[in-house]
Amino acid sequence: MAFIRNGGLLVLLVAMVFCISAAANPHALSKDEKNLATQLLIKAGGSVSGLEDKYQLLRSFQVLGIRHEEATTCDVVGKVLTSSSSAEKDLFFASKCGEALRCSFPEPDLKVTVSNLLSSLENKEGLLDVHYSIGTLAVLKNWVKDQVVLEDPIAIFQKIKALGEEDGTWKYDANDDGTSAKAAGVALETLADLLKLASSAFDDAKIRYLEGVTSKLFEFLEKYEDGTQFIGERGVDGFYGGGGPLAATSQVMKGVTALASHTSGQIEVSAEKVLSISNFFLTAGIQGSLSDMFHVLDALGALDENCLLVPVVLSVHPTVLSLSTMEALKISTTTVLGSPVEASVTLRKAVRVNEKDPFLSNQLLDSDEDKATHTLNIVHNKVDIGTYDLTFKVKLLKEGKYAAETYPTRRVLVTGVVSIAEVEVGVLDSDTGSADFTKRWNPSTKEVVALFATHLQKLRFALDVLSPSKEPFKPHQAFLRLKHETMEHLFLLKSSEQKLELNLDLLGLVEKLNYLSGIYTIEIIIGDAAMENPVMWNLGTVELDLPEPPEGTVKPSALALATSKYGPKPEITHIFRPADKRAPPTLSNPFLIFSLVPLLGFLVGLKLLNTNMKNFPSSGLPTVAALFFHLGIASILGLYVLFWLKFNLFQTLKALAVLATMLMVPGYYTLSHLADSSSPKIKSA
Amino acid sequence: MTAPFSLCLSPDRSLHPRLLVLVDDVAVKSSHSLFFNSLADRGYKLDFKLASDPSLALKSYGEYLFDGLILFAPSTEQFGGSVDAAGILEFVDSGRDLILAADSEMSDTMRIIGSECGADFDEDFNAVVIDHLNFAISEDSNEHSLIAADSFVKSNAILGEKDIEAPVLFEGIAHSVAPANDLVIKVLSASSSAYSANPDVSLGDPPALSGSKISLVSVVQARNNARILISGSLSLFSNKFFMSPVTKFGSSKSYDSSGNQQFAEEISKWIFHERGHLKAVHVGHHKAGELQEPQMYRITDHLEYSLEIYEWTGKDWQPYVADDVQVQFYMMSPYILKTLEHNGQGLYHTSFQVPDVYGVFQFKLEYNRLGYTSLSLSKQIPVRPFRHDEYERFIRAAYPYYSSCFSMMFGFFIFGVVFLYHK
Repeated sequence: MAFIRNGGLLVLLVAMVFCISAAANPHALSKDEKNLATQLLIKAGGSVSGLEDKYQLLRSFQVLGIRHEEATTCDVVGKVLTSSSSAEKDLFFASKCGEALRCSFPEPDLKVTVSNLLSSLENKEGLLDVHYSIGTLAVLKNWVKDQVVLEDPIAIFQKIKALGEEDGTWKYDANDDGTSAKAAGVALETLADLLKLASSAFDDAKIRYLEGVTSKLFEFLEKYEDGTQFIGERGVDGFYGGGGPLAATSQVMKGVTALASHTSGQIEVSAEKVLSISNFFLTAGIQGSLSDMFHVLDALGALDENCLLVPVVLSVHPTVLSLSTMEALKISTTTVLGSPVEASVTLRKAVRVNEKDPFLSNQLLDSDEDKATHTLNIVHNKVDIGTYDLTFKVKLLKEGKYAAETYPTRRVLVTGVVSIAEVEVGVLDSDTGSADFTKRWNPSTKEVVALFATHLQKLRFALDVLSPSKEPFKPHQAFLRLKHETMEHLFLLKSSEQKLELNLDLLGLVEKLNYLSGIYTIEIIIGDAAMENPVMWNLGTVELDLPEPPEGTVKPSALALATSKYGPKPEITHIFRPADKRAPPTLSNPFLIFSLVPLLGFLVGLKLLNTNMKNFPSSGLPTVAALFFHLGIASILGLYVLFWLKFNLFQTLKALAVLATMLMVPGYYTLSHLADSSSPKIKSA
Repeated sequence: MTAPFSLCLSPDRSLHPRLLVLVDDVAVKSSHSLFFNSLADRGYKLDFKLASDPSLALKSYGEYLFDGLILFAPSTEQFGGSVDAAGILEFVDSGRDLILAADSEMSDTMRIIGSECGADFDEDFNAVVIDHLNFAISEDSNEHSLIAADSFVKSNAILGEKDIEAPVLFEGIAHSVAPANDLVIKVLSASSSAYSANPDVSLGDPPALSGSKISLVSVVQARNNARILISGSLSLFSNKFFMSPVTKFGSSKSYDSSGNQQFAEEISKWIFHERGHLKAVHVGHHKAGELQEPQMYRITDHLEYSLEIYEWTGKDWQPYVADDVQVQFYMMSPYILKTLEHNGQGLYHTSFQVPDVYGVFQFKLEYNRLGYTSLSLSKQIPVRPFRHDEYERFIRAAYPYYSSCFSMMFGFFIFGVVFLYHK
């Protein structure tokens, strides 16, 4: 490839495989595509700000044939053009906007701008600077005819030429370390503008130079697999706006066509190249960002109408031809944007895909009055459903610079309604092959069948699929599906002896069916791209009685029963241990009284025994000691009561320790005193 | 164990997440510009690179340079720079998000990434999804491989509140997800008549993938909250499909534009955590009537449990409101499972009585909802039995016992006095 020579810049190479949406059938920009592009442009238009974006938007709409004034208006453009502080780039895009909007400005307002531009031309060195200035002047010439006179067009020509290289590429700036074809496109456009401004300055030598540059430029074309050609972007382009191969190819086409429109036929490019470039733009599609859409549309606009060579595209509509609607195939010869071009079209041959012999050949198509739309009608009588490759021969009738692919081939799918009369359903004996049960399932009644089979039997399904011309048709999708709860098994209906059939030997399938006995539903799906009536039928059910699985195999249905992990779970509340059974108060209260009876009896007994306190010490220390002793005992007993009422064990034990210690001293004293006082009596007794 | 629920996404999560978009063709940037613009409009910083760019890097000095990765480079066999399939999986393992779009020219590398994420693409390199009953009528495609898909997952978290009415256009390859893998969710499934095969070759064997087993678009929510989108179609995100009108075969209804734009935008919101990302904070519990969190509960205590749940919206944390948040009081098995009440401001609470079983319990909150990050919180708390003095003291039925005790004590006291001083 050509750009390998600039090895160092490979880093920034971005020409890759393009998304090609409709490579098989190139066609002129269709209505749907234009609508899609319009919608996308309107969407993109919401956020444009700079004049360059606005121009891209306006130009894109212009190519699509829509007048769009939302982006900017002549007033705004006029303000920029008359302002002395506007930069060249803004002036350039403002003037282009003005051109696209078909504004008209009063001559005096623009005089200052023109003279400013003219005077500063000498100082411009970079290609883009010159391009903007010359471009603006070329547009302004429409409004201020006499004012735009270049002082020294030859010098400008030499300046541009100086940036060019031998091989036809260009530098943007003398200091650039690389050249590009896109820059050459800019240079050619600038030279075309220069030609427009000062055509007299260009002598034959200069025109020949331009011819040479143009022909060299088209040696840079790179190719895609589908035959479309384009110009790749170079590293140096990245620094000057980039835009990828779309922008580069678009710029070159713009430059070359502009140049061709200002020369009288000297500039020539081979038809094959123009056609493959126009295919490149048509297949690239108009569905990207604003700048990409602009580059495609701008190029298509340039290709649609120019003095170089207008590519003529053969479009087939519809590409899917329905036999049931009796539609005719419309073949149109148009420019890329859809303007009709007179031509006569012959069908050289029509071949069914995967077949050798053409089923139609050499047939001149009927043309409309404008000779741009041609009808292929006879297809209906002979053709069967399927895919066909149609090869045409195009002979252009219109005068002028037009070019068309001589033998374009287009692929057409013919669709129709197939007929399936019935489905044969049967249960056969494995060994003998004799039918134990057969039924002809009728699609029109949809009456379901209920089969029963064991693993020693076979299931048989067979059906005829006939195309509209009553030929056996083999659809791409011919499935039989057995469904058992969560398990699904798919089988292919194979064609044999003009029938689609399937014999299921259940013995061999036991393992595949996971030994799952039970009811399976039977579904048949027949579909094909050429079928207008794809079907999915529920034939009914079959109850299979399969043997038990050998030891150790796990039934998968049990595994499949995993509960969903999503969603709330049922609430759980704890059930507390029930309280112990207790005696009712009516029982416990009498027992309470009953339990006090012994105490009462004890007290009554003491009374009856006439107990007295005569032995209580009557004086002094023993009395105090006895009092403390009994008070101590009472307080320990009271502590027990408190233990019941509120204290815990530790509090009680602590208190008990204190009380018991305190009790020991008076206790010992009292008891020994009592012992002392009574012992003499014992002795005396 | 406390699960890493919310720490990976701090409240000051970047409001302008950086996304790396890897393409195998610069034209993708332009032909899918509507999708990229919608991301840029939502505050994402997109960095476009060719997948073969030699300066490609996900990391710099151990730090990831991006918060998410969009792989719109199905045909890339080998990445440029320091990126490889393992590096991308590591990127996901670090909790970052990935969008992977395939098409019929999918490379092995991409298949490996897909299968590591739980989506197994059809092994037949020429197979595409075909559906003769549910295709979109179109001029460009006559192989019935332009599918008008409309069986979406039922989850507002993933696909937004608003139903997607128009079918989604899909043109690409099929993948399947293992039913046992509950991290992968089929977002867009094929209909039961779909199959995956090469349209140009007649079938010799039943197709490996067919019917509703085929997933067209799946998402993965990893345990570390990384989210992955796997689409079998790159053009699903394209401007062309966004704007295309759709008429489904056999249906009289036609839509002015497909559901692709809504679908792609809504699902990208989910993937980049603008929806369905929850965090739980201020998880606490205390005894009824107290405020302090105790070290331990006693059986039959009444306690209150509360937490706050917030959802990330892409800008800030908003209260999450749901009626199905449940907490378990758990020891080997749940003893109590209760749905939390909420105040509509993200505060969830409930109260219950501790069961009369002692041991080491957990407050366990397992929140798994389709499309939401799973919350998995657990907090250990021991439960002790009654202390000796915490049992009931004044039992009516036991009064005869008490009275006999006290009467004996009283009798002992009187007997002592009488025994010592009677004469």
